[in-house]
Amino acid sequence: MLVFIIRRSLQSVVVLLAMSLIVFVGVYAVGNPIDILINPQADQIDRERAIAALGLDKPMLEQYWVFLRGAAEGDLGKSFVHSTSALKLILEKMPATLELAFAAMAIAIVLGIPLGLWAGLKPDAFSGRTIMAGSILGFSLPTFWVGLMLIMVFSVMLGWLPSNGRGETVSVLGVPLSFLTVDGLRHLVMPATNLALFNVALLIRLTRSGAHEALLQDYVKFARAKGLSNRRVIGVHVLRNILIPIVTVIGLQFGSLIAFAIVTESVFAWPGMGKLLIDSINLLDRPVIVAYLLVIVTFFILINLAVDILYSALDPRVRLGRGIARCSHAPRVMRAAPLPPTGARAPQTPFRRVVDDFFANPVATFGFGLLCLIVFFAIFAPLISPQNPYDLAQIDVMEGRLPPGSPTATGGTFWLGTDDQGRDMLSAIFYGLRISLAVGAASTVLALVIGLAAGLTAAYLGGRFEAMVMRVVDIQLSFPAILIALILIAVLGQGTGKVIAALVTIQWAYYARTVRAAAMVEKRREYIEAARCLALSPARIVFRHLLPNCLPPLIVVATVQVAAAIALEATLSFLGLGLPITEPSLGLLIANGYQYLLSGKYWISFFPGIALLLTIVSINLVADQLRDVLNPRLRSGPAPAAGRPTPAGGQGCARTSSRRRASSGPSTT
Amino acid sequence: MRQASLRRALAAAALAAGVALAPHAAAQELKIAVAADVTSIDPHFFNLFPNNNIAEHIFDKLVQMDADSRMIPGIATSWKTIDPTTWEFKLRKGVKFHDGSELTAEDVAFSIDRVAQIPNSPGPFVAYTKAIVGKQIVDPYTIRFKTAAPHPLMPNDLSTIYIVSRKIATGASTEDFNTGKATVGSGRFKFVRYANGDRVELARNDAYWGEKAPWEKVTFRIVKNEASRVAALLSGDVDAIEQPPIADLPRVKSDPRFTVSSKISHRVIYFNFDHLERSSPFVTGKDGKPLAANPLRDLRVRKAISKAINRPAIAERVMEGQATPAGQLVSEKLFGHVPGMKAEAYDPDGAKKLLAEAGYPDGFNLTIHGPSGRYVNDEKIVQAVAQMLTRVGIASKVETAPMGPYSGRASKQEFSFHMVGWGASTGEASSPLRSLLATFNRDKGLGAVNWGRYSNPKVDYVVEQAIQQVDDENRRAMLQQATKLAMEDLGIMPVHFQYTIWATKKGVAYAPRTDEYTLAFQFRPVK
Repeated sequence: MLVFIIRRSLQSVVVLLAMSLIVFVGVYAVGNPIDILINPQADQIDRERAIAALGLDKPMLEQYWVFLRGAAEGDLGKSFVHSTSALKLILEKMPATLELAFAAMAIAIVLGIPLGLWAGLKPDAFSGRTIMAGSILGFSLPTFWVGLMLIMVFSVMLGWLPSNGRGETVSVLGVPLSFLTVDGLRHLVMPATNLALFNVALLIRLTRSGAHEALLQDYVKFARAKGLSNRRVIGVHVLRNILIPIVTVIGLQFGSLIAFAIVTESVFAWPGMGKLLIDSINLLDRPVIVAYLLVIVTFFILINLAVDILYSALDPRVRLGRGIARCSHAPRVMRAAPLPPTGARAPQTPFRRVVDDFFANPVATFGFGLLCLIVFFAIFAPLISPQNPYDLAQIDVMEGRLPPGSPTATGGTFWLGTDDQGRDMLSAIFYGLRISLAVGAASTVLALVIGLAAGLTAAYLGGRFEAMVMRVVDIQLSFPAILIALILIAVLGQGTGKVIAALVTIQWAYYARTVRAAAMVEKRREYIEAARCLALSPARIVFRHLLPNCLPPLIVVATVQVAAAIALEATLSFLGLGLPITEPSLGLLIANGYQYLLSGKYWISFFPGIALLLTIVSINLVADQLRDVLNPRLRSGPAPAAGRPTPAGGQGCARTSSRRRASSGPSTT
Repeated sequence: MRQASLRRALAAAALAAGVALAPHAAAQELKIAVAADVTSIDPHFFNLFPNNNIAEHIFDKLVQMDADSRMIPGIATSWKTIDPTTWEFKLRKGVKFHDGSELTAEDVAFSIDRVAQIPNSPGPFVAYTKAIVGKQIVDPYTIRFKTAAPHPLMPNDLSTIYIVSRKIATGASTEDFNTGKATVGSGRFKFVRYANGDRVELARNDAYWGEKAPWEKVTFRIVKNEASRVAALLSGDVDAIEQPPIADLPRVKSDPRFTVSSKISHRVIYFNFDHLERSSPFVTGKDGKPLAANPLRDLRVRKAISKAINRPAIAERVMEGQATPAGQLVSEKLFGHVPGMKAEAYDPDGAKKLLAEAGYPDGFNLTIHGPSGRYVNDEKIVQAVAQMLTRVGIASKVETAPMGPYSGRASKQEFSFHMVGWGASTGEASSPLRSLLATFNRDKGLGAVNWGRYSNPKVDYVVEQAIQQVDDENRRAMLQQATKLAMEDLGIMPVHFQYTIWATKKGVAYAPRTDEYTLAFQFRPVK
């Protein structure tokens, strides 16, 4: 244990160093802060003097060295714009963000676990299905959109709650807390709910699939056979077994909540760390950006460490220090029968079976049909759209903001109205679908390939290489997506390719982790040992034997990731870091229309919102069903060919869902 | 513990629902939601709009600006030149700092020195004090400033320098101002509290020498997201907001519970042309290949672009009436405005003809760059301009980026045709002329923001004369002449003057300002 902790700490120092260097170089590339900070009236010599005053005239490496020397003494530098220690600024803001994150987590637990349990116990009942369908909404709707809707309803229309800010605080042991005052609570309710929404959905799905699966396990049958009451079976046996992955996810999600409170904090003007980061990025206040990220990474490292230790305490089968820690379990998702089949008679091809099972569920069939229709619209957008909304010669600002049904200048009709630039909304939605789906699919495929290669190689080679890759994954998962995007946009410029690059950078680590977890299990199997005994080349073992067996979980992950990438792109657009504005995706259409939400010109963002919602929901419906039919343990038919005993509760590598946006991955764990 | 706090939470939530509809606090308090972050309370640390906006409340200046950006007496009751390089300021007697001590010429001299001594300033005020080479305190109420060369803009410059108390601010750091330890001014409000990124609280100074503020207590809330800001007003959380998004104006205006006031700003929105002799980076022929010569160097092409732009349509449709088409550098009330100089009329046929004359009958391809989220509706303006240029044959694409990376690239001449805004904060046309249109020259300190690298010796000559001309009428004529020269040559292409907008709840009125400041004491309770 001690060795494990020491090794982890050493690795963490390397992570922090690497992180600081990356951020330093990245922010340096974005631009010279003096360009935007100094008053425009200043002349060239004033500018040079200001640059020198902040030490920005020195070579970058020298600046980094100065930073490192300070950091070694615990000084992360002074904010350029506040002239206050960057660390102090962040620590000042931390209570507000922590409070928001704790409140969100509490809401998620209180709502998510009971609802998920209910849905798992009654998977075929109307209530169970409704809960599941509702949970899809939880991670389909962009956070910024839901936030403003909450403000609209509860502040503007009903006047029940204050629209933004943090309420009155009381100091407890020197820490200002707002949840202890009535005013503070009233301010806290909406942002916390907004932030919790994703996690409510996540916990519902996690609990539901855990419970659903646990009910089929022998120990439950045994407990029932023993005549235990239903309450005891569920409350003690089922709950305890499914709690381990849930606890893990809660721990990991907490880190994400802090890092990704950015959007909620901006919408609700919540004076926390996330808002400080956005403000600092806008002003290129490098000391604060670097300090923020170092604090967040430290947070993640500590949480991960705590989760690992907790995990080993909860589950004796996990042996710390043997390298693979909690991921030694089979991913709960599904494990296809190993190839080659072990000789059992196969009356059906696996493909045929999957197809049959898939369409046995009417909801999934509906989702699949809807998805096909959406893909059709996207592919044939140029043929069916009344207008090419990307051709500036075809649109006219004079026709901007027309309501649905208005006539066009050429005798047609704007069925869904026009946006502020005079784009026909219907055409814009078809074209936007095309871009959104293309961005989602392209980034998913690329991230999948990179993640697969990294994860498989790491799992197969093990040792230093594996440790290194997994530490890089740690960095990735702690890097707020918005910062990656801003850096990439600064370095590369705006454009579809760059957004895809940003999404790939954000997502690959997620696949690497999933595939490594799956491969860790597979590589202990007999067929790999057999292949080794046959002296097959490592490449052949990895690609012909290991890879096909790790694929099924990835297919499901990838399906969900397409949806996640689309949602993430929408959020990037909201933060002003997305695609070129003349070629809007669905996300950008919503973001553009966002400012019209309060104005009554609802159609500008309402219709693209519906289109985005339908797209993400249909993809998730398909992914859900895929997950179920690809999971042999949930199959109603005969037991899988390789009928290996499975660990009770089937905890997966819960870490895989730790990413909030990039994962969107409840159904992947 | 968890259970206990949960119970408390439930009880509080129940209470919250009960008191939610309680009426708002008494009229003596004013809550304003502002759009940008206040980074420091130290009035000399960082010349940043939101910081100055707060400093305007706590501190006084020698010279103040009225709502139309004209100079009026502040702490100085009068000022004059004694000889071409000496200015004399007479100070108001009996002005008291918040701690009760009297403001004298010593404090003025100290404040001017402090500006140059602030460590680590990312945007110092030295631009406004460096002309002063010597100070002479004649008596406690008279101070003289020596300059190396004639400096007509001394009063304008000193209208930006806040006066702090020498006794209290000696040795005080910027942090001492942020915590309030050294935040002692003579202004209409006393400092109460500053919570970084969240709010600034002020209390009325009942000993103020001039007209006292109508509000006992003022809270500035920082709400950057514009939709959230409007929501804060609509839900009654604040009494007034600055910069409501234009999209929401019709709704706010039609609601009898609110009032909207707006005024033309000192800010001009304009486009820079690439004036360098090179193959311009974002101009290509219709075949997509780079053009050997830069067409934007041809005045006929610049003229064609200007004629192709339907400025009234942008003002009416994109800006929803919150802008006035511009054909020069400063708006009507500002010093150096050229009467009768109109914006270029919309003339697409004329534009095509000029393009053909210049040798581009089919036009060319162009990528237009613009900042995102910096100026009112900036991305929309750029897109509308791209539409209009595309119609006359200049097939245009649009790229936008946040101001940080954007200004970095623009200042390195990486763009061909890009949009920027300029606020003439000194209230004079000399500000845009010397920074935007004079030839880039480090040693003379001219053309610092001349990102298109426009260079016209005639303009340079007149500008350099004008900024040393102490006689106001002569200087005005020279600034007008330089403006005409630069505009006829289309060194830059103005689009419009944007308006600054405030929205208040009924019962509160704002006297709108050209300089865009949101000043609590300019809000008045009305029946």
